[in-house]
Amino acid sequence: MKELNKDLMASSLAPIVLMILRGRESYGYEIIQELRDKTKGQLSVAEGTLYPILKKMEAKKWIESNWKTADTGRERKYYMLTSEGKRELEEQYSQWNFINELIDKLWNQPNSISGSQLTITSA
Amino acid sequence: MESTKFNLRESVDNYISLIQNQGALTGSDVRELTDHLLDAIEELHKHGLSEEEAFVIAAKRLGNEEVLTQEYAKVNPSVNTNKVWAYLFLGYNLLYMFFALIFASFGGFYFLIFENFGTSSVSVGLIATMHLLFSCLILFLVSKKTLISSFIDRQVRINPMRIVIISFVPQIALFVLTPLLPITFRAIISVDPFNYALREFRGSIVEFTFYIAVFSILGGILSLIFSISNSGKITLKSLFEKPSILFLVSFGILVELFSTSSRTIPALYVWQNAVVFGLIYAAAAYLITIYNASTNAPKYLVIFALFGFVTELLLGFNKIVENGNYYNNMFFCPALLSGLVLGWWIGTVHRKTKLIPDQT
Repeated sequence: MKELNKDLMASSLAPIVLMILRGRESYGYEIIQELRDKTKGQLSVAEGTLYPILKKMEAKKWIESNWKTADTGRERKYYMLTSEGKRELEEQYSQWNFINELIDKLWNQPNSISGSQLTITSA
Repeated sequence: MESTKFNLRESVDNYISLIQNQGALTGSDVRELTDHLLDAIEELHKHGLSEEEAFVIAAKRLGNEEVLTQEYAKVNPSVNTNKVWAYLFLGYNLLYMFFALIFASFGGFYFLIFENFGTSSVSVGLIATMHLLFSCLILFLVSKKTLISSFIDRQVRINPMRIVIISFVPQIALFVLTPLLPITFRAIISVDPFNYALREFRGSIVEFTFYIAVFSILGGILSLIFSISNSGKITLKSLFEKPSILFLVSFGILVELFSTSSRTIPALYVWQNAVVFGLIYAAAAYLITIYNASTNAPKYLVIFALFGFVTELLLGFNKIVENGNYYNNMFFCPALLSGLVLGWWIGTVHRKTKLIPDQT
């Protein structure tokens, strides 16, 4: 099980949720289920903290919600992406890609900085 | 084996209300979290877990009240704002109700006594007893400060709307019911009942016990205000230990007014009034001395007594100028000073015998 850094989790959960909502409207429990499926249960997060994130995104008008009665007879709050949310998702996706590529590049380049530090300490 | 005693719905509601009681959830949040928990339990139950096991796991996955409250509070700032307004409305309504109740019940009581016993000594005894009982009630309420506030706090957290609406009921009831009351009774409630009593029962005992009742309210308010920054219950120690200058001055004014009102006690000679006056000051000085280091107590006593001393001096001087009646008023300044010294002396001795170490 992966314990993600709290700050990293907080900043990445928003685009992840937006991506899940890209295809169809969904409710909290289903979003968590999808997250669990995609990560094969490897992501540990207090499930209830998803809802404040959804509220924050709703306040920013990236998503909107309405209560619907499910087949079980219980009422559920469904969330869907707005056009503003779509734009935001594209923006965040490109930003994440940018960071991703940067991390990739830095990770794969010859380890010159730590190498030079090694020579200094050994000198 | 599945426990037959486990009540799923009750457990879910209890768990959610545990989070809700922290005060950061809206009604819609509560419904959403409840739904989530029920969905998760249903899913786990399908996989062969008992309802109780499913509940325990689902609740753990949902997160504890501390984490959830912290996250919800970030997105629900209005919850806090609303709470402040709930407290404001409650505070206003409670104070209104408190004073309306005092006026109505005092007025009604005086009226009933007057109707049944006239201005006899029975009336005087009953009214004086009522005044003293009322003072005890005020002291009792002040001592239950923590209990009262935690009750209000709990109500506001669970259902702010309900408690605010309930708090309006006495005002509305008074507004609706007053026109229905008999006209004489209505007049008593609306006309200042205290003046009525003081006028009808022209006795100094009624007057003095009435002052005791009034000063118990003022004293209660004073202790509530000056204990705001103290944690825990209001005790004499928490009030008088290392007092602020503002507290000493306020207490001094209160004691001066109270000891002055003691002059309404009938006495053959003025010096008898002066003794009572001095004894009240002695009691106050004792309280200040016993709870403070011997190096600080005299300083505190001077600040405390300054208002009273100056007032008595000016009053006495004024009387001499006005009607040359200096004789009657020359007792009170010495009585005040003797009271202070007496209280300080008993307090110091008492402190030594109880072996309270001086800590500055």
